[in-house]
Amino acid sequence: MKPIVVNRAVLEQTSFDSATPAGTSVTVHRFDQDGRFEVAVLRDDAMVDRMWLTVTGSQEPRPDQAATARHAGEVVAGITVDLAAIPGRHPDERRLDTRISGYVAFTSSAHQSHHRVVVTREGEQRPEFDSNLLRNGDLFAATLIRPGRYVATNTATGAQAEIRVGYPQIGRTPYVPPEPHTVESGRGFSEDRITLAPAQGIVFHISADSHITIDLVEPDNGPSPGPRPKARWFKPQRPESTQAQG
Amino acid sequence: MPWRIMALTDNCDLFVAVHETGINRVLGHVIRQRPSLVNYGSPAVVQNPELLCAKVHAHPVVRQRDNPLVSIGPPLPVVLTGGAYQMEYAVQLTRAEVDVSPGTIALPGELNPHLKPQRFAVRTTLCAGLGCPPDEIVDQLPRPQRSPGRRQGDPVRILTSRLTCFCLDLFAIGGVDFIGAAGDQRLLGKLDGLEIVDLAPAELENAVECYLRFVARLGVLPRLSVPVIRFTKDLLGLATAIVEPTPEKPTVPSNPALEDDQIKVFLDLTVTPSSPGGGGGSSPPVIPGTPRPRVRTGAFDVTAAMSEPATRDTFAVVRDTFSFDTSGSADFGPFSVSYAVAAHLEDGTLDLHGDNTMRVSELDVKFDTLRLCFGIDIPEICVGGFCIIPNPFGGCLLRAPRICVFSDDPDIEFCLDIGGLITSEISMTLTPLTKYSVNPSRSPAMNDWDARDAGIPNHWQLYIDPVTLDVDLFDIADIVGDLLEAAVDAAIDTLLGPLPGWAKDLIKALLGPVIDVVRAILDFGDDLEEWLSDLLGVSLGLFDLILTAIADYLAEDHPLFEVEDPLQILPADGALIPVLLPVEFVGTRVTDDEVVVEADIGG
Repeated sequence: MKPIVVNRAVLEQTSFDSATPAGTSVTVHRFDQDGRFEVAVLRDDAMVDRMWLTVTGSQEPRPDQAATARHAGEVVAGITVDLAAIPGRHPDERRLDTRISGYVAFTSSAHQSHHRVVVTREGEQRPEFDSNLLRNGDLFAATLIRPGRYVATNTATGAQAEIRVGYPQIGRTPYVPPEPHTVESGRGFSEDRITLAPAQGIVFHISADSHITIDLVEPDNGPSPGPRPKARWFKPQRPESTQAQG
Repeated sequence: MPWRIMALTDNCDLFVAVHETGINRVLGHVIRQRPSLVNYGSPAVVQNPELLCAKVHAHPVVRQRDNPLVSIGPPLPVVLTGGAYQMEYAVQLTRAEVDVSPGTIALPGELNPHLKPQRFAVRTTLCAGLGCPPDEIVDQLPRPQRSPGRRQGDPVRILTSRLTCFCLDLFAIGGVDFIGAAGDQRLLGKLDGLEIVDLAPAELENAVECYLRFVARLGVLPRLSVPVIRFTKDLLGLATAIVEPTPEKPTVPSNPALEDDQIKVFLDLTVTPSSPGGGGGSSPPVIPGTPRPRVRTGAFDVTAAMSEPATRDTFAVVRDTFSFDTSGSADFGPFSVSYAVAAHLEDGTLDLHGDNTMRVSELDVKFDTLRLCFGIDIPEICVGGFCIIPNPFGGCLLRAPRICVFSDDPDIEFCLDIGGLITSEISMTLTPLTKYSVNPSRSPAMNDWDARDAGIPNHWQLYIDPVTLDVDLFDIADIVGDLLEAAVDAAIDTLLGPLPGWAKDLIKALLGPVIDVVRAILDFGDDLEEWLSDLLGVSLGLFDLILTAIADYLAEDHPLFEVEDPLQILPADGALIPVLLPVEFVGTRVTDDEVVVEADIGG
């Protein structure tokens, strides 16, 4: 048997932050204008690496990027950037291309890296996108695996919502998580109480400035095991002597 | 009732018959190889066999090994000399021929010209000679010397250059009986009458006949007793065989029976397996032989038959000594299987058929061990990957990260011990086959005695040759499905062991019923029994292995028994060579009722 490593991080991720998307969470920005952009990766407000993004009027992303963005045989228009993987890239590979209205998703495969991303048009000071504060049109998505009660907070507005992730039920057929739940994040959340099935995704559509955090506050460890079955033997009653004689 | 040829073993388990021609061949070999048994003489004759009345036709090995042609007989003193003079003499049996009823030898009238039923006759020629030197030599014989302290000196041997010989035809009739303790009975001839032809006067004839009767009863016949029971037990050496003469009864009026020119012996047999470990030591390796055809026609010298019930008992012993164990593995892509198997055989019925076959059916293969261990790649278990931004025209513009729980497709391994849960039967068609094995260590210069001394004799071998072997896996207990499911669940629990309960439950939920996953990977659908049968029988070829092992067991490695050629019938006696009987042919055939072994004795 070949050795298998369990990806514990994915099972143990119980906190999600749109500013530092990692693990199963992702922050998405749509680029509506062409140009050349610097993608800076920051940790504790200090830039640790960067790469370049070119947004053009062309209809398709570069073939190599299309390949990396391929999922289940379909070519998607978005690009996903693993912020933890940038330092290892060759300079020639630190270039991204997308088209106008193309989506770029940022995440980090290093769960504890706390990578923040800031995208700035070349020659400008004002960021086009800063994961620290999502703006209208951006998205934040996460897959909540650990059953329990979570609290989602928009730290920019103080709005909160409760998210309950149900406990998995082992059924007669393989469990397939339902389609992701969609929530709008504006001045508040469009729902105060959200119920998710285990491993179901949640997508926050940002309509006003948002910094969303999701934290587990009460884990659900499932039903407690019932009492162990017991068996007791009773000595059979002896028949009455008169009956025995009869 | 349909007409049926009576079987040789209709009234017994074992039947052995020796034809009179075979008996006479045996006598011929005894006389040639042990001439001192039938030639007696005084010291001068022993030293100079040329003095004998008849030339001794001894086997070359007798001379090669300096075996005597003549046994020294008692002194023949000249009466009234106080033993001072001894004459030279010789007595020889120059011909011996046995005739078993119905008789073909013309007997003298005194013995009734027609041999009675259940009797044998022997025609022999007895020659004797006396050393009678001319008178002039007698006149010059030395006087016996007297020495101090002795009444008489050494006797004077009256030497001669030739004997005055005469020969007599001697006829005897008799029967045969079993003698000896149970388990070691022998066939012993008994003398009814003896007649010398043309000897006069009658009183002399009577006196000589009287003496010869004593010689026959007290000297010859005990030496010719045949240890039938011990010999039969030795032949069935793979088992503990209890052999007893079949009691005489209306259907077996005479045992032994002297009829049809044969001495027939009817035996009852009880066969039980040998106790394990009782043999001790290792047997010499079996040298596979080749078929050897018969080179003559006519009646066989020896015919033996084993009844169907006795054959069944013997088969049971062969069956019980078989065992099989092996292990191996195979990779079938999506999964791998390793196995360890140990099996033996039980039950089964054997039937004899007139087409020279024995058919065994319902022979159970009992799996003492049948352990199957499966290694399976179960699908990777991943979360995420959902569509964040659907494409309004179909498909998805952007997906969430898809993250997998394991670093690779995980393996699970689980084992099933199903030895007692599988029932399998074998049916076989077998045919007995004799082969002749020439020992390759034997050099062309070796004679049979040299080879025997070197422990490298040739052998006749009796094999049970498999014609067809079929195996039928006809039942797998329902509980195997439950065992499989439990084993798979346990394997998954082992794989997920370090994870918290909720994570295990999530993974199990994502996998669905693991047995369904395993079912899909192993591809056994809803019919585990058929799949397992196919796996064992076809994919792993397990039953082919078992059948091959049985076939090899029967055909190559284990002749049912071996008989040395030549076969010793009299052991060595001091310097005297053993008397060996060449076995020219051994053949077998099967009838509806018995297994028959037929043999010819070499000339």
